[in-house]
Amino acid sequence: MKHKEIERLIQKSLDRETSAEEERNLHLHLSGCPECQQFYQELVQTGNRLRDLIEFYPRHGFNDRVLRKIGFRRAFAWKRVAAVFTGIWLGTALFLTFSPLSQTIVNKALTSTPAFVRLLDKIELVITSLSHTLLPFVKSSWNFTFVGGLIFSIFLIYFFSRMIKREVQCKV
Amino acid sequence: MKNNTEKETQLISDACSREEDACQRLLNLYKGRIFSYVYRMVRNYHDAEDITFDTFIKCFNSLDRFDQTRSFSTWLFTIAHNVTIDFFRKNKQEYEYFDDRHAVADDFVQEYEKKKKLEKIEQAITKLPPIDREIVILFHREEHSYQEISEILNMPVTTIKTRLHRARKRLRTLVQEER
Repeated sequence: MKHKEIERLIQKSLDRETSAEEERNLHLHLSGCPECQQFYQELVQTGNRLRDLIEFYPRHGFNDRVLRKIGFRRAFAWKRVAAVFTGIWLGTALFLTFSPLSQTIVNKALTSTPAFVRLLDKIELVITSLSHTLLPFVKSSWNFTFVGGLIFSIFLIYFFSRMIKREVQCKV
Repeated sequence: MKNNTEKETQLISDACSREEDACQRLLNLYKGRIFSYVYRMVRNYHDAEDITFDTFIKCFNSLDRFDQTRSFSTWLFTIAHNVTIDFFRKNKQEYEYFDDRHAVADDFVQEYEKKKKLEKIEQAITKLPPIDREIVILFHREEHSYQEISEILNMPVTTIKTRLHRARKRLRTLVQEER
């Protein structure tokens, strides 16, 4: 067979279109012709390299942008705001609980701003009345505040972790 | 022609009924493939992302008109191809003669080149004319049949065959030259 004919057969073989007989004839020729064998191997290698080309991905958040555009999801910003708020809230709670400095700051705020004192009084009044109406079994308003704060914290942490999980899933 | 798997058919039906989870999964299945295909055409990360974005928007907006007997992959790649052609038109670049030198080497490309030292084959692809580049990627990387490529590019099968055979030989030579 002529080289030109073999080249046509090689291309046909790479196109996955050769019959069993054509394939046999091709390999019979290739086993006795180093030149065609090399040409065949190089084309096969090129094909393999093309198949193994790496896959690129768009930036993180691509799915969200598409889904938002087609109206699947509301703007994502409020979740980020909630995340920041949770962080600040937890940070402040820890600071107020454990830092001795916080007591000084609160005392100073209480003595220097009467409006702040009035606000705290009102908050306490609301909490006390709620504790009387909603949770009569809770002995003191302090307990009510503590339990309420704990539930609120658990809710925020749950919400925060769900959001992170979702973000990670989007990335994957 | 590649048929849609049962799972994929279900996914498409769910996405048609506007189920967010199904849309997410369709995106996760195809965004890498579409983005890579487009990126290898335009060689610019941000443009490729915009084109991929428009492709999926068009896909979801016309999903209810998609004929389930057709291959979803072929249909999606057809949209991607058309959006890419529109991009070339809008940017007043000749698709037929698009040269890699016109592409802006953005940070992503530079980073990728640094990391991977851009494999020889990847460099060789950039030296092919865009149509040949598309055919080579669709056939070898995406494993589409001639018939499917003909549908995607709206070109006769014989032309695609001739171009692919020529492109293969050219790629082989280019890879040899870079050794």
